[in-house]
Amino acid sequence: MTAGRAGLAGRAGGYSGRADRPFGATGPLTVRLLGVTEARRMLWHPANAVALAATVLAVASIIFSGESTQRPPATIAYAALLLLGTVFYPLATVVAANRVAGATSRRSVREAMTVTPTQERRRTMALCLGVLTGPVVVGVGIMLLIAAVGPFGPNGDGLAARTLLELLQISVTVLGGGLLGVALARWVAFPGVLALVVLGLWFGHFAVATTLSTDGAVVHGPAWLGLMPTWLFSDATMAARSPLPQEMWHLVYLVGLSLLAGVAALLHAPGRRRPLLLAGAGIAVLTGVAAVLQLG
Amino acid sequence: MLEIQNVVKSYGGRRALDGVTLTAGGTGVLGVLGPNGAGKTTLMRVLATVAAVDAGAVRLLGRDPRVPDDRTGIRRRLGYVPQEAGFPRGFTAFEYVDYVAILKEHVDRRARHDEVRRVLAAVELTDLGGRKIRKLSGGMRRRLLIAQALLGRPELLVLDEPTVGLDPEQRLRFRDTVSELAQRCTVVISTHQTEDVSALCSRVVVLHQGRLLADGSPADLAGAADGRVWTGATRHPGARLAWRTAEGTVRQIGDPPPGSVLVPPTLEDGYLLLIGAESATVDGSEGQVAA
Repeated sequence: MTAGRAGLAGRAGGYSGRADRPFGATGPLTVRLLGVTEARRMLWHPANAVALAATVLAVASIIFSGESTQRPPATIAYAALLLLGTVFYPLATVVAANRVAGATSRRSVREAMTVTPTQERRRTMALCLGVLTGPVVVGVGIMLLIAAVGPFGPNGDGLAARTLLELLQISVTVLGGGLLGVALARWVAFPGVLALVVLGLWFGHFAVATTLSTDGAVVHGPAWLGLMPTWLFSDATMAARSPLPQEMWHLVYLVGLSLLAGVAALLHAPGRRRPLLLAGAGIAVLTGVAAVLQLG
Repeated sequence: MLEIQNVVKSYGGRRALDGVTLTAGGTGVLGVLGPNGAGKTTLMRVLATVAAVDAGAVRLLGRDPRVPDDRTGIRRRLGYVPQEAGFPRGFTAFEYVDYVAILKEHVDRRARHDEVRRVLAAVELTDLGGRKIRKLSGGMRRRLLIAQALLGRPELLVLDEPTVGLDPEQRLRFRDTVSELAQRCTVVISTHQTEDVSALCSRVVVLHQGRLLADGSPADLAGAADGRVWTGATRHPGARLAWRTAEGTVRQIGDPPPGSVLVPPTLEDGYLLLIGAESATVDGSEGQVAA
């Protein structure tokens, strides 16, 4: 054996190369098990409690403002679920996924875990799976509750106006939030980054999607992420606002963004990058096309 | 079991390992002694497949860690306690070991939990399995690290200063655990503690400035100071190393003057003599240890 061959020197003097290939007999099962563990950790993360608390506060403010006397309970419940599913829960998922991913990727923690057959690529896959089987399942639950509550409200409140394709965006936004959180933990695990991203999503999203005109009317700009800001300010469906029935394109666009975040997270790990880059390029093109069709 | 030949590993311009050759196999404990900065941790990281070497050859458990599939195979049969390790936030002791067990491909839930309980019992943390890691003492955390290394009954156990932070009773228990493990696998342990080496190791190597200075049994290393350790009332100028003991006499290592009272050397004497002599060679000055 000779020394100094290409591929010997990896990050921090460690090994690089395709440590995860091929999957051993227990590889996929390990990823699945790990995914379940990560999902559980994400669901129990305190950020979710903060999201719930924020929703309760928002609903309490509606009730105490006196508006609740004019609205039936179904409308209040609908508003609470909508706030939770479209605003607070996706943001909480960004935080939860990021912190769960970051907890095991700190250098001091990683060293003991490096000496196992399950390397970073698989651990990242497990985290992505965790987002899918944890927070996204809850997102689907919220979506179903919204769909169930809608018919109980009076027609004037426009509760039943949301189509299934629009409601599905809740789950996809949660998926995207979770994968974004994992990608951030892998690539930019610096103090303050997560807070900046969450603030950026919060303010940027609303500021871009809705503005007030000089006469005080709400003007809808392009919806770069979910459609929650327009939902909050309008009872109309997206189809009614757009020249084409474009909910599907917006959904494709959001799925594309989510998958790109997942690909970014997986690209961080040592291993074969070409298939991921090719997949990422394909997804980026599809997302771009969907964005043009949806955002016009 | 493990073979490394002429291994070189540098960080920046500094050679942490400089042409180290070492072979070990079968069962037993191999101790790696050396002062701070000697290259012990780098050697441990190479043996644990964490660090790749710049030059030289490494074979562990019959496999080449440079080959990805081989490396994965080695890691399936390896246990490792790093010198400094953090823990993921929010985990209990049981959850942490269970998490590592999943990473080590223990996929059957019941068998995995049995294994987690077994290793926690081996380090006497059974009752603290449900406690958050942040609430454990330093010594308990160290034992937790040892527990995760024991998962799956590894064939090669690499322990980098595992007794740091353990109190004397815990160290005794640790020695008991390791000596039992050493009946089934190869254990490599790096330490500053010559008492640990005396108590545990059938073989010891001494690293200094990245080079292997000595390789033999603890008795061999102690024997290197045979006839070169003496006590006296005052420090002799010919002593390479000297320190005042609790009894008030000065224990001295080096070339004894005529008529001095020789005492039986310990492993520490041999180690200090070796390191002191090497430092004198390298630095041009003689080492001295103050009491």
